[in-house]
Amino acid sequence: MRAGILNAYPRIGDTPEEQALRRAIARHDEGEISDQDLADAQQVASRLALQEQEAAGLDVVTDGLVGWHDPVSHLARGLGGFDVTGLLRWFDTNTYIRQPAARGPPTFTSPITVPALEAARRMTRRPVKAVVTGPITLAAYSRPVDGGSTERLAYDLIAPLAEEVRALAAAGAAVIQVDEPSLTQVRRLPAAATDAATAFARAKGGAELVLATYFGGVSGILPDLLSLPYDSLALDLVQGAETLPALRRVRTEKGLHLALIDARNTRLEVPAVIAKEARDLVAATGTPRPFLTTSNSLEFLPRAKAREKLRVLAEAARLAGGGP
Amino acid sequence: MSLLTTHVGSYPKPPELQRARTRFSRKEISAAALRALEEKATREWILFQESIDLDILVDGEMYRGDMATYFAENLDGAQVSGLVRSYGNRYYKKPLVTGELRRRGPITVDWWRFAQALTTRPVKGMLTGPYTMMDWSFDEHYGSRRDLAMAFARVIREEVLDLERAGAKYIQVDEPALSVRADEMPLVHDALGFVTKGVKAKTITHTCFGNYEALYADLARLPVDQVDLEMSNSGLDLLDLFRRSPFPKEVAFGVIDVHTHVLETKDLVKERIRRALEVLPPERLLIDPDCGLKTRTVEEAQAKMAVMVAATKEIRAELAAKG
Repeated sequence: MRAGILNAYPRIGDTPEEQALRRAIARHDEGEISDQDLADAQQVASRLALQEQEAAGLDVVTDGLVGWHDPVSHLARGLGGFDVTGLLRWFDTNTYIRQPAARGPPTFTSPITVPALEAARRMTRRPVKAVVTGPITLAAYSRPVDGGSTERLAYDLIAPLAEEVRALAAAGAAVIQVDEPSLTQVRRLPAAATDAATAFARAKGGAELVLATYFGGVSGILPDLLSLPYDSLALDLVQGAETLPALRRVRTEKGLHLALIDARNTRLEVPAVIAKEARDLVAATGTPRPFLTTSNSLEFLPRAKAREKLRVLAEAARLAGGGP
Repeated sequence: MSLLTTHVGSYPKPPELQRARTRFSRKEISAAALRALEEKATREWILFQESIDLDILVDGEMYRGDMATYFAENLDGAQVSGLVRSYGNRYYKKPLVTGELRRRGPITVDWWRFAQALTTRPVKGMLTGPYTMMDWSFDEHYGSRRDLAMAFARVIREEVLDLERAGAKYIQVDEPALSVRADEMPLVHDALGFVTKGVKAKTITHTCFGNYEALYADLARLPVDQVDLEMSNSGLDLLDLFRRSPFPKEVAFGVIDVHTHVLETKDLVKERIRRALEVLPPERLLIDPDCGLKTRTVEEAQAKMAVMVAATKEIRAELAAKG
């Protein structure tokens, strides 16, 4: 079974060497180093993240998203039509995003995540996954224009985000993952999620298009998610363990990214136990493209623990069959 | 007196103390040398708060690194993890629970006594609440969020009772994590209620940076006397809820955004207080910053607190003039 992390990876660690990016950002904030110096430091951090994933034996890698401000404002800063404002708690975590405030309809001006993808592709031979936060989540964590609605903002975000997906596909992303954690908070699939999936599917080129949900389960909307034109679904089966019974009842031709490794707790899973659970889910669902992944961003863990989780992830995938 | 002024908890550590903490972590200075600087900084913050005429003081938490890890460092069954990201370029270390939680002895009482002895004004006892300690910890022992929260509740209650016995008139049990999981409010009530049951001191809880729309009714029922809320960072959004459904408890109302270098003008703070007074009577309204000020510089924090108190005094005068 193939394996890879869901999205982000710790950008710093506990040793002084692993804190280079933190120091660089602080010095950049103080005007002591240039934008290029900061970009160089980000690239070093990204290379380390890639190397640690490769060393663990993961099949698909990410750049660790080490240049992202946060999962929301990073995209909003790159689109036209947003101001970035105060802090807002990110789901049920002790982490925060900067809340974007819409000035008007968002616009695509230039690719946001493509430069980091291109840099990552130059640093690894493994397939690289690109990540884009989806319109439902971006809208949910943004402030609409006065008199506007979150729903309208979600619709308005589809076209510019589809341009980003198109640019990522053109840049050679093997996998393009649309992160929609807010779909774990809804009882009915928002109509904008369907329109977004259609737009992204048209833009994805030859990349595998993945919809990722996390911070909870999606049992109530699982059939709707499976009907969307994504190639694969990534499902949080740790915090969203309530999805498991519903998942065992479906048969699907889609790829399933089984997020069975807990990215929010340090306790290490037993690879053989995870492998058995993954095999059972593959047998139950008939998915032709199983993939083992983490339940969330590994930035929720200290780097040393994240490294251990990489090893557990790769070993569990190996035991489940196939893989590295 | 109405419109009392207070502070949520932390102040920035002066640079010499920051350097000393780094040197202590490298074993370059002794615990006694670090303690001397922590006491000096605490003394300076108490003096500063008196100098601006703040009504209810805090010790400023000069001896704490992080509000959760400080307690983990002082409990059996808990350790401190490596660094994890909070936001932007800010990182913190999380508690890591590896065994049954037990208090070795009083954790904050000695520091509370030290600070209170420096002033005749009341100094708040400051603790982190059981739900937040649970939510912000890695759990390698209990395996259940409820079991872990109630385990923290047992040790925090011991600390509350010790603070009360030492003479604390105000005891704040912070629950910033309660603001994001409406489905777990029954657990918040059970754990916080266990901590505050029968306590005679005024009990307070602080929360911040969440979506309160779904939690509003639960906030009003929290088992504490006073709820301390971040208001300014979120553009005073909560006022609409207060207007629709009057809040029955005392409210400490955040009028200072703690996450910006920009110093609020006195007029802006006065405007925020006036808007608070539209929905809360002055005798149930306290004025404070949105949250702790430890992320600002000493100068920024002092300027923000001075503006806050000056603005409150002018509003008090306006209220007095109206009779």
